[in-house]
Order: sequence, then C-alpha cells, then structure tokens
Amino acid sequence: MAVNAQLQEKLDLFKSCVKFEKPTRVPNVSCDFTWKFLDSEYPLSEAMMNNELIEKVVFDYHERYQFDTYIDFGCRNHMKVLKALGGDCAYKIDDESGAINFQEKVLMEANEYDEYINNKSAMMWKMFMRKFPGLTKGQAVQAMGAFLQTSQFSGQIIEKFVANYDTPALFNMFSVPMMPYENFIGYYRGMREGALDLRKNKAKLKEALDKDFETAVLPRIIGGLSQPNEKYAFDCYTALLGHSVMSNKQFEEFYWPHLKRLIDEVVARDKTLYIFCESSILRLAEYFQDIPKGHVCLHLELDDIFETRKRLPNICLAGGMKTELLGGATPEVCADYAKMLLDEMGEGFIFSQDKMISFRNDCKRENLLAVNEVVKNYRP
Amino acid sequence: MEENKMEIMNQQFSEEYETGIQEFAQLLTFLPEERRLMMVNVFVGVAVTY
Repeated sequence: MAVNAQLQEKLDLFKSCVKFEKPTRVPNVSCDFTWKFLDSEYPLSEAMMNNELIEKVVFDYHERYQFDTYIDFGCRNHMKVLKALGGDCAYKIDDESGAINFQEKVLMEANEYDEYINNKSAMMWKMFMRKFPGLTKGQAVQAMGAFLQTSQFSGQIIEKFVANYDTPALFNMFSVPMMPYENFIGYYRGMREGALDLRKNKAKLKEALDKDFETAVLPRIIGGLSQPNEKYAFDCYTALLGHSVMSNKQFEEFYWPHLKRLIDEVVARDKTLYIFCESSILRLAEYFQDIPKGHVCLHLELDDIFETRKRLPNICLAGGMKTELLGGATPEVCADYAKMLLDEMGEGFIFSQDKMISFRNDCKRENLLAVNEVVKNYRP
Repeated sequence: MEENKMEIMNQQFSEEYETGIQEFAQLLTFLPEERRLMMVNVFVGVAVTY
C-alpha cells in the first residue's frame, strides 16, 4: 500500500535507526500512557470512558508535543469493557493522585495446569467466570459490543494519525506477540503464584508455556510478520515484563526459547522488532549479543543506556531521557541532558523516555516541550 | 416476549464450557452466525487478560 512522502520520511527515520544508518534526524517516540490524560483538562476517570474525549486528548497531545510516533494512542484502555462486565473492576482510578491501580486475582490454581494443558478453552471459560463472578448474559452481550467498538476505535485513531498528521503507529496492533509466561504471571496465576511456579511447578509450567507458544503465539508471530506493515515504524512489537522475576537460569528455561524463536522469525524475514523492556535486561545481555544488526530495537527502562550500548553494539536502543529530570528538573537541565544523549548515542538510537510516563510527577509540560524542541532541531 | 428476553439477560451462564459458550454465542445476534462462537472464544481469552 502506497504511503505519502511525509509519512515515508518518518518511517525512514526508524528504518535508518534500527539499521544503524545515519538518519536525517533522530526520531522521537512517546512512551506515555496515562500521563497524556493527566496533562489534559479532563479527569482521568471521565476521559478514559469517553471516546470523544480520548480522541481530543490524544490529538491535543500530539499537536502540543509533536512526537514521531506513540507506543500508545490512548487505546490501551479496557475500562469500557470492564465496566460492562460489571462486578469489582480490576482497575481502580484515583483522580486525585492520577493513579490507576490494578487488583490482581489468582484465576487458575496450581493444581489446574493439567486442565489448562489438555483443555485450554474450558480452563479459559473457568477463569472468565472467576474473574467476573455473577456475570449476567446481558452484561456479557453489552461487553462484547464495547469490545468490538473499542477495537474499531483503536484502528480509527491510528488511521486518523496517518491521514491528518502523517504520523505512523509504532507497530500494527495485530502484530504484538506477547511471550506465554506474561499471561501466567500477569493474569492467570498472578505475580506471587506465577513467580513461585518457576520453582514449585516447573515441569507443568514449562509444558503449558511451550504448548501455548506452538498453538497460539507462533501463529500470531507468523501472521503478524506476514502482514503488509509498511505503514508502521516496526513490523512487530513485544514487551518483556515477567523476566524481572526470573533468575538468568529461569529466563533461559522459561522465556528465552520463545523470545529467540520470535527474533529468529523476524531476522529470517528481514523484518524489525521493537521490544519494550520493563525493569532491567542488562544482566541478560549475553542472549541478545548474537542477533544480527538491523532487526531489533530494545526500549530500556531501568538500565543505563550507555552501558547497554557498550554491551550490545548490535542492537538499536530506544529511551534514555530520564523521567527523574522530566519530572523534577528545569527545562534547561532537561534540554542539556537531551542534547548530551543525542551526541553520545549516535547512530542506532531512538529518542524516548526511560520509562513509561504514567504518573503526574513523571513529567512536567515545560520540560517535555523543551526536550522535544531539542530533539526536533538536532541534526546528527 | 420482551419480558422473556429480560429474564434471559438477567440469567447467568452455565459454568460448563460447552454449554456456556453456546449460550453466549446465541445471544450475539448482531454478529454473523458463523463468527459468533469464534468471537466468544476470542473475547473470553482477551477479557481474562484485562
């Protein structure tokens, strides 16, 4: 599908960076999620439930800060579906603090791994009933309607960004294969039980993860990479979250085989992959060091980006701009730091924040404006 | 008829998978029939990870 010249220019910035070619300027990715709502005039609880407001917030945010793309376009938002499903919503919005708290629940017991492995659909239904106790048929129908509407809305926002602002999405939302362990620690078993399973339920966990990978994740990888992704900055996106509770040995056994297969498929097809790395991955650098240059970008959170560059000279890195400065320093200090980052990182670098900006204190408007002005005008 | 529909909407699903998803699928009259069961399974899988 043909793209216009302005959009192509932005897409080329990302392609240059991942291939360690000198871009005409360094692209700037917004790693914000809730902060864009906190930066608006609307209370979080009101904005997140109203598509018109979401659209206004997202477009105002872009017109103000002019990022080259966004990890989130305001659509990483399940509130309407969860509200329709009723019961005690897992997400609690606190308008005063600007926080969204997630109440996790163990949906699958330790002795139910066999059922999951042998009849996953039935186990998913069981978890669904447990997550939404007392759910009525009417609520479920309404929730399905909200789910379809939300999916459609997400696609529409992305299309509008392309049409109105020549701004691509970072990735195709149908090309986001999360590694199997993420569902276990994030939802099915919860953080505590999911972490304990790495020791107490090793064999069953491994069997469940491997089966999930073959039957659900690998088809998603191949399907996503087979799509025409020329309108997107990257062909594929995933996030590393659950690795943070694993030792290196556990990572090698329960996580790396699946992630390696994803990376291998990306490389074999000459595609690109953006990986958001929550927490730290520097201790796992050895796993990434043999990946051929030109395919993978790691967005770092806790790791020192300069140290990571030394350890992984083959991997494009994203992030770097410290939120401790964005939230607590002056515009001048922030601008100086941004310039230093751009000078030091050179090629193979995509500018962004060093963590998701989610809370009010993560960022000040004047600081983000100052930084983005530096990035926009910087010429390598 | 309307009262009967209201009564159905206030019911809960069967906890048994095969019966429950059929009950859910039958209610999705705004979807093409051939897509209903698939969408129920997709939705259930996604809602569990919300």
